[in-house]
Amino acid sequence: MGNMYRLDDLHKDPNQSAISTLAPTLLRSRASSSMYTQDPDMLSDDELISIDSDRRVDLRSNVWENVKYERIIDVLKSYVKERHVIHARNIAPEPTSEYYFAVPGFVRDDVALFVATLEVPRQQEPLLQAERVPELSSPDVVYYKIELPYPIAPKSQIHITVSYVLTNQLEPAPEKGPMGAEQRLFFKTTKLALSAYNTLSYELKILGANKPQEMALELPSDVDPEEFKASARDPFLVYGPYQKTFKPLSNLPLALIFTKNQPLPFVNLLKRDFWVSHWSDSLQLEEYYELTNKGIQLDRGFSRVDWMNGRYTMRPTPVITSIQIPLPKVETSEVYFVDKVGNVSTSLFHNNELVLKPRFPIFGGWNYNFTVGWTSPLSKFLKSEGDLHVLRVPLLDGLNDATYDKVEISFFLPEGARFVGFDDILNLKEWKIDHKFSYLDITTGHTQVTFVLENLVDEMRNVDILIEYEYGLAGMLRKPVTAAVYIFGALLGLLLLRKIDLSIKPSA
Amino acid sequence: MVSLIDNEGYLRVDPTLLKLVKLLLLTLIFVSVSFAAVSSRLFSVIRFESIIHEFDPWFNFRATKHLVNTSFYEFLNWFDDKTWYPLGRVTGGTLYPGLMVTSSVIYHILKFVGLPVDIRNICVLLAPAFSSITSVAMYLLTLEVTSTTPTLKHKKTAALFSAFLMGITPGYISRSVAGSYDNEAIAITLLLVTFFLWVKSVNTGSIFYGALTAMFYFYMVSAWGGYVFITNIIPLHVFILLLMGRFDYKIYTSYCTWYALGTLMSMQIPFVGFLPIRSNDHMAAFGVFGLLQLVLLVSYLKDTLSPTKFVRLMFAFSAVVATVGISGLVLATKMGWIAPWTGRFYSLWDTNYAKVHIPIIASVSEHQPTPWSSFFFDLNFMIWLFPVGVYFCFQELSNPAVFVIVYSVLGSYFAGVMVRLMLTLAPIVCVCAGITLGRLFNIYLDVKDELSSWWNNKESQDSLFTLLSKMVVSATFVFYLVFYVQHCTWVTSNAYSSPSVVLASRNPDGSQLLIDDYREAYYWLRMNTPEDAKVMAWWDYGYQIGGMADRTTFVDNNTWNNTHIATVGRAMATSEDKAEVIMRQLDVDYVLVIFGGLIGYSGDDINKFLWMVRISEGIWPEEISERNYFTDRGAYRVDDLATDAMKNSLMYKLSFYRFGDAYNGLDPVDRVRQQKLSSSYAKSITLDVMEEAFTSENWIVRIYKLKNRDNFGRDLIDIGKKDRKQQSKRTKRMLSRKKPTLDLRV
Repeated sequence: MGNMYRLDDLHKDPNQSAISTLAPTLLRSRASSSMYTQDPDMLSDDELISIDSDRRVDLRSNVWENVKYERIIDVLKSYVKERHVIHARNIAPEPTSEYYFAVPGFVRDDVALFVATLEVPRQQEPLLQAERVPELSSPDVVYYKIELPYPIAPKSQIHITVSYVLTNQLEPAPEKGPMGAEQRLFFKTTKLALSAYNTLSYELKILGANKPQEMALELPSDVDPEEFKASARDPFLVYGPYQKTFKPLSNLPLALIFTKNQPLPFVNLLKRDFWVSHWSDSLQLEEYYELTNKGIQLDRGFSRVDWMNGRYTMRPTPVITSIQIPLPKVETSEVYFVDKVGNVSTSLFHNNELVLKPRFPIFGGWNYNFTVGWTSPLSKFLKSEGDLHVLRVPLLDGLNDATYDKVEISFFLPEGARFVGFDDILNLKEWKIDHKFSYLDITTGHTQVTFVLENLVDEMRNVDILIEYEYGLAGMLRKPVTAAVYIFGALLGLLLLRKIDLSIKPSA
Repeated sequence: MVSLIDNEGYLRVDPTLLKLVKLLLLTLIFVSVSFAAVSSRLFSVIRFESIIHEFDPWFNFRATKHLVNTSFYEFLNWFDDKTWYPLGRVTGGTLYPGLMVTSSVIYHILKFVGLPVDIRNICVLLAPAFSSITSVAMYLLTLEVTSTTPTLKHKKTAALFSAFLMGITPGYISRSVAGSYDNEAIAITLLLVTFFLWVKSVNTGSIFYGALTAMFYFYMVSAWGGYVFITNIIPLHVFILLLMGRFDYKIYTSYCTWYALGTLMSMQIPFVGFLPIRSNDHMAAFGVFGLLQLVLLVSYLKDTLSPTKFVRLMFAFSAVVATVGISGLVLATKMGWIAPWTGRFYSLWDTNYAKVHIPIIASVSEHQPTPWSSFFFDLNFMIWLFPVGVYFCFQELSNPAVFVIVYSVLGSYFAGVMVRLMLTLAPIVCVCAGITLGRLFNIYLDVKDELSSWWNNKESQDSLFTLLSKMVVSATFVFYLVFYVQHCTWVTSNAYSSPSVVLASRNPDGSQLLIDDYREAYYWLRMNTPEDAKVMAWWDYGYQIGGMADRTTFVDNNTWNNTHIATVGRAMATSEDKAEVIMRQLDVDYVLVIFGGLIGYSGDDINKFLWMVRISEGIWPEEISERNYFTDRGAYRVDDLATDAMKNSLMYKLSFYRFGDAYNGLDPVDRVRQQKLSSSYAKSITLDVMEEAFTSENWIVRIYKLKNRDNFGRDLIDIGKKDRKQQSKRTKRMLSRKKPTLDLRV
């Protein structure tokens, strides 16, 4: 299960747009300033941080040393992807198997996916256990503890790649503008790697920042501003490489504004309902979206004339004019697209993709709630062994580029099915079992299993959900037999009622 | 042994088998009629989707949803603050709950038996479902009429014909296609069931049927304001029977049972309340009730007193009753105890009354007098079979036949007054046509004698010709019947199956194109305006905005508050500065107008504008005058030649704002009025107090937002003027700079 987590390779992103060369004049990197260390008292060398009496966390910053640290930030999509490639050396006298990874505190709630891999040749499973250590976190830093598969001997090196996705990082600046205005996005991050260890060599690359402009930030002046200037190296915006030692938790804020003429789709709520039917061998999926565009808003009302005359549908704009929903590879039927006032007739298939045209173009700040659904053969998603069935469905279908705030995935198992369990689910907040009465459910109703997930992005589409349930012949026969019994009873009752004579007549 | 050939050579069949075959045939006919009735009503669902149609059904749908989501008592106490802003509407007390209750009962029953059908689908399909019940009720009614009238033999044929005719007559389909979720959808069924039970109770004199009549009368009262039709037609029937000297205890029993129970029950509906004893619409029923008691008394006296004494007493008695009755009526009306005659009632008698006195009633297209052609359109060949059936009824004036005659006369009159009352005429036309056809086919299809005589005596030319003529007549009527089916299907498909929310059009290549502007705009309102936004629109769209956009409206299709509607009309009809004052007073956030000029959609607000003017003129004649909106030559123009009142009106500006820009410098053409505006004039249409918020794809719906007051307290119109002056200076400068002075040299 675990190795199914896969982030698209940063370099092979299909949405990669041409990035214009960086105009160096635009870069005003006098923003550079002092590197400051967070809580220097707390994290001086050789200090053990004591959290509470029975648990002590070893965060000695002299355990590791980052020999080479390469960081890539990808802003091609409507969220931010970061990839940290770290070559670290154990400088402690004894072997160690834990590496602590620091993430700035201001994104603590926006980390959608955190994946660490160990790059070792001939290693079968490079994915590493990583979990947040809440005890260590301060308002400024959040730590993840990465468990290495085996202790690393002193003086030997490891090669770790940490990838994570940050949502809610891009916001339009200015917030409002006229129709057709270029959308500039504001993005805040750190210029240096916020590492718990000393870093000897460091480089930061930003991908997808079109026409970048660094905001001037006022900072103390113990750092040479020229040193932290960006350079453009198509398609990247590059800081470094710096061949010098950065102390633990060195930090330098970076505020970047860049152009992106694409919408920022944001799904406030997605409800995915899977209806499982063994009798008809079908898996019906209904998805309800509450979609918002977080892009630049109109500064005045929407003028249809301007929209018509500007031919905005022909070129990239920060407006959602169509929604592409890739359908699963298996055959699908009965596809529909409705919203709260009925059927939306403007949808079409294109290369196994459902292209939906919303009723109106969705500008920044506008909302559009809609429902799509389709049916696929159940056997393509089901593995059975006797009465035991394992259903494997993708975590997400749907939009090509979107952030999901809250996702509710429900499975409606047939009446009489018993839910057994589920495999690990990403970002799971809660889950519950309930019952839902649907057509001809007379006894217990469909078994409804609901998972509530938070903070997802479209790239988790490759992740699957596995649930296991028990449903045998007895369960399958239960419904038709109950229905037959009820109908028989009703007819019998009718027959008896007809025998009763209630008429008022003088007896003959 | 099921059948055998007896010694006379006749085929004898077991009677139980015959009965079974008859039952089977009857069932088959009913199934077929139901199938035809339901399936022809599904055009709109197949062509478009399962959607609620038109205007009023949206309110009924919304109310039904409210009922399903809350309890019955909460529904009756429902105060809806989303309509009639800022007044609100005591919805629970001002509607006929029958329709909503019916759907919600069906919804709960289906849910109980394990079929949780979506409430929208129940609402959409309610009318077709009830139409099949209607044809059964029609069968029963005709059967009851014919079986008790000896001359109207061949009763079942007539009854089955009437059921079939009723199932697909366009006059009824017009109000009962799938999605037309209106009161009439169930009311016609109830009307027929009530009439059937009434005829039955008059025939039998049974309290049981009288009580059942009252029950269904109550159901009818709860469902449709048209129940007054029953309230008047039953007393009239009884009154005429009295005049004919037909008084008997059967009539007395059934009428008194019906009146007492029916009136008491109808008063339980909050909207009806004490109307049955106060409104003049109900006085006839009350009067006949009193009259019956007097007649009973008189017939008792007649039996006991000597003739001379009786005559003397009668004179005195009738004089007293007449004076007391008439003076009582006048006094009660004067004192205001009983309601004066309503406007809609007057317009029933004088078709011009509404146009002169109550423009709001006249502005509804379904309240217009019926054109002759629509009788044929809605009833096809039944319209000439109808008088024949009435004639048959005159031949033997039994009590049910008198009922048919009374209904025919009243129904014909009312159908001639108002288009929508064609609906109440259609059933009786079907009864009469069924009677005619039944009789006709019974005579002309009965060729037993001719066949046998022709068989026995081959030289008999007479019987051959009789046979042939019978065949010709039958064939002709079979053709008419086939044509009827074709006509009904065509009318249903082309005239009555458009949801009017979605418009169907054709692409140049012939494929279907749906114009979905209404829902586009309503959905935009729902998604992208604050939840408490108040939307001002002409009252036609009130229910749709409430139902689809879920926003607060000022006026809607429930037209009891004329002044409020006139206020909205006034805001639309006056100039921008005056309209701003009104809109600020009303607390308007958005204004929604319908404009069809770009694609030629004729049902738009500019075409309805005169009604807004007329209705507001009724209240503010000193401010608004219809004449000002016509040119000197009396033409209704929207182009450069439009009058100042027209050009300055808010409605005009909202409709044509930036219309010229859509034509890229060419002269814009209003495709509905077929008038061409000059491009320079079109550019000069400005809007200062409002800002365009949304316009749908084909410009049918345009939504504007009332701008906030200026922070410095300046007048918004002044600011706009100043801006334009500066802009025109700038553009002039730009133009003068851009334009190279090139002369053509020859």
